[in-house]
Amino acid sequence: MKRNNRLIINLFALVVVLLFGFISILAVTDGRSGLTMFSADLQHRVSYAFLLKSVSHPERASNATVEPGGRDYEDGAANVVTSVVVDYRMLDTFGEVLVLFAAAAGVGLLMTERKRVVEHDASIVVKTAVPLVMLFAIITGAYIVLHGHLTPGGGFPGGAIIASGFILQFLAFRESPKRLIFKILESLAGLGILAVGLVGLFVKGSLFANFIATGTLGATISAGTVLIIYLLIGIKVAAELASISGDFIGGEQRIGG
Amino acid sequence: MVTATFLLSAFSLILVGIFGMLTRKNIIRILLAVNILETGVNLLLVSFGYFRGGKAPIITAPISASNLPFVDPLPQALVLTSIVIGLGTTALALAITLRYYRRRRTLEFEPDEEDFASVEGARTLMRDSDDSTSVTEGKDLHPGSNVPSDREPAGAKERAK
Amino acid sequence: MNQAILLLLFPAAAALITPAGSALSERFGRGLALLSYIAGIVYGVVLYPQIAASPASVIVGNWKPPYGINLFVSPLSLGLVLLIYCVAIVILVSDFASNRKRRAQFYLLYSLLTMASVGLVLTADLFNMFVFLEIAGISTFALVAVGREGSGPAGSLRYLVLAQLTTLLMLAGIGLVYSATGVLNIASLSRFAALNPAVAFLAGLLILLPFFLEMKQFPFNGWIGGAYRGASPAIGATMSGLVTVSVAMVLARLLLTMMNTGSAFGDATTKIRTVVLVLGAATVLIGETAAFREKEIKRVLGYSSAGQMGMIAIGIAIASQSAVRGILFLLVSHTIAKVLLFLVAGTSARLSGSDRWDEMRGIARRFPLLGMLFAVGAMTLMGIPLFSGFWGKLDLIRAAIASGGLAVVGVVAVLIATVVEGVYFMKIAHAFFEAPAAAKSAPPESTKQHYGVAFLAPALVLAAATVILGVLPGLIDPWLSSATAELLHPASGYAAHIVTGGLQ
Repeated sequence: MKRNNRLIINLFALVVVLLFGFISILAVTDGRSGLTMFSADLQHRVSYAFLLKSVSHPERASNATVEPGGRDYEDGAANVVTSVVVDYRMLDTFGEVLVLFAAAAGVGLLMTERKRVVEHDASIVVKTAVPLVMLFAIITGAYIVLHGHLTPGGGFPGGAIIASGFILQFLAFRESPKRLIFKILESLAGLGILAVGLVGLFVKGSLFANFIATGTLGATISAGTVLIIYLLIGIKVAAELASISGDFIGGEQRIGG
Repeated sequence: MVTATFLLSAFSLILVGIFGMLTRKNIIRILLAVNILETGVNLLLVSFGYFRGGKAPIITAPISASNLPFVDPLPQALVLTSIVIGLGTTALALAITLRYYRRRRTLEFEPDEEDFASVEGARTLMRDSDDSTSVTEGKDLHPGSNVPSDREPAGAKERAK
Repeated sequence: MNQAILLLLFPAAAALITPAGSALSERFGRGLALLSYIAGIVYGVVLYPQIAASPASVIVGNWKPPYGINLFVSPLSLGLVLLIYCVAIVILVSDFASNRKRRAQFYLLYSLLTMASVGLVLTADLFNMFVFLEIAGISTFALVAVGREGSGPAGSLRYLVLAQLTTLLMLAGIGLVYSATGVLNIASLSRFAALNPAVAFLAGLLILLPFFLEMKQFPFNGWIGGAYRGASPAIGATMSGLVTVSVAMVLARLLLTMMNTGSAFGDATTKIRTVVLVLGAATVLIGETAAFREKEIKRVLGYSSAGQMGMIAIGIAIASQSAVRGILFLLVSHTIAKVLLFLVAGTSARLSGSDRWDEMRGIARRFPLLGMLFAVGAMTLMGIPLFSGFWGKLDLIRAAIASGGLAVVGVVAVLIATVVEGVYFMKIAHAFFEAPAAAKSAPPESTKQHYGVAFLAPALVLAAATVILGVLPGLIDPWLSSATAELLHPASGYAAHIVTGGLQ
């Protein structure tokens, strides 16, 4: 009886999925679809102005040039994806920061401390290697965070790498982490991002507007508020992921060992 | 042919993800299917910005309107956001699953007890209100708080039957 | 006018401060959340006259749309934002009565949920909408999961999986739209950049999917029972009363403003609206029937919400002037009534010790006010004259009959549903007012219990609101007119602020 049910469910799902796939493929490969599947034509997309840094005057985009070493473009990040994420569409990124914030709060709300009984300690190999690896993880993560406007990466992956260093520490030494520090860091970094936005609102007239000179394209210190925001995001993400992992790992009670 | 590969892979991942979500009963497998679906959608988005010979959109040499060698940066920005959102959701889903497991002692998703007034449903209701007997939850050690986490108020009655 | 974005930021700031603040005191989160909602209401009220005179497009980051993200503050969106904040305050205040010690993260998540709902109403960018939807989703999953010990996580998981499915498909739809048109801004899409009809139909449906889920439309209503059983009454009220405002508004915005015959979606619009109409009618019937069979009062209310949302979907799909007026009125009256009913349900459950209405017999005899408040809420939902639901339903039915064709199916569904509604609300009222038989006398402790001011004050305010609106519907007439005009005729207001600069 149960096996028949499973078979029917599977078949039904297969039909639904194939139908959906079929309709989608039909719609998308239609010759008149205007969907440029195999060759994106950037000229008619908003990205055209993003790449040529001419959003403030889009009608002059076709004459614009951008070069490394140029000064005072409307947005100073050499990595155009970063400029889209942190400058042109900053509200989305703020929302993304809040999503992670909500997830961390939710995990904190759900995971109550629980004493687990653990049989052995981590091995001597792990315990020796972890401090070294942790050092490299934090340095690499910090590098990625600080160079978000020049190379791929930025606050989110960098923060995750930094957090992974702390996770290694939790797993190797089985300590209940000092959650308070992470929570305060998380809070302050988040407020910092909001504060940067509010300064932009009151100085330049809209939230998250760039109020610092954008400097030289390609220099380490450039791109105005982009650098500051990514730094704060990196700290927040690192603190959040470390605290989520801390909540999952919880406290442990060791016997034997 | 190379570019078609992206789209075909993305589609397949999406279809596999949907199929997995509809047919699996183990919660971890369902969450895995969600992640596969998410990967498929992200891949689809990024491939909408691709064209043959495009480079990563980082300005290392002078560019002008006539020679834009870059792939579209906007879908990449969207995907960046989507990945982080997926991470948050997965973390929360796993935390909820842990709670579910601690209470129900199983990772199988049991839809039957949602039925109106069925025997199964009534039995689940009895299990639910039976708060006083759960001993496995430890105290909450979050700083600054010494209150029980989210228990039913002390007056919840145990059903006679 | 860009300062208007502060409307969104009050709860966000409250949420961000909470982790650090709660290290000092657990009570911090609660006071901060309430303070931020009050600030939001005050600011919104101060802003209203200015907005009523000239709606404003608030840009973020100093980049004009469609390159940057913008929010649209108008009488419609500002009015709904104020409604959302009021509902949030009412629900949080009444939650004090439940005597459950809430941790700081609860208020943090609640503030984020409120902020996301406000953002959904205000935003004019598709991907921004997706992000706010996800914030609201994550907050709701967590808040539902901490409801009841066993069924909270179960209900939340089912909801989570379905929500992830639909929002990811929405993202795929957004990708399709962007690939073909090159813009992500709703106002842009409502005026320029025509899509091929097949793609428009597919992408349009994909984008609407998560809103079908949130509005409990068939076939995405499998999660309702579990989530409403698992959630505490306050969260049930939030799902039915707070989130529904923003989601219904977004559905209207997408279906009426973004998809109209002059827009990117062109001819696919009629097909999509037909689908919504059919699904709405099915939802109305299925939702009310399910409510009829339920014995747990929170689940009854949840399924009843599904039915009401189905009616709103029908109205949106009809897309005529009076239909849109009707559903806006219906939305406001439903919110007030549903929150009131959830307050009553939560209190009754607490006082009688059971979640099932057939075990709450005679409760209205011990607490007559409770029974009367229930009656007020029920009559509003049923559409009885003197209560606000009447005008909404009347407008909707008249609009459907006038529009003819398939809309008549909608009328039939609504009428059948109203009858079914009447029956099950009567059954519950009957149970409430039943004279206690000798063997079923109230347990001794309950004579000491009483509902507190925390329940009574908000409940009376809501009851008064629905009666006033029912007797004087003209009070919100100017708001209804401007809101309807904005939704149905975007060219003059909503879409007037878009820069094209070389795109088209």
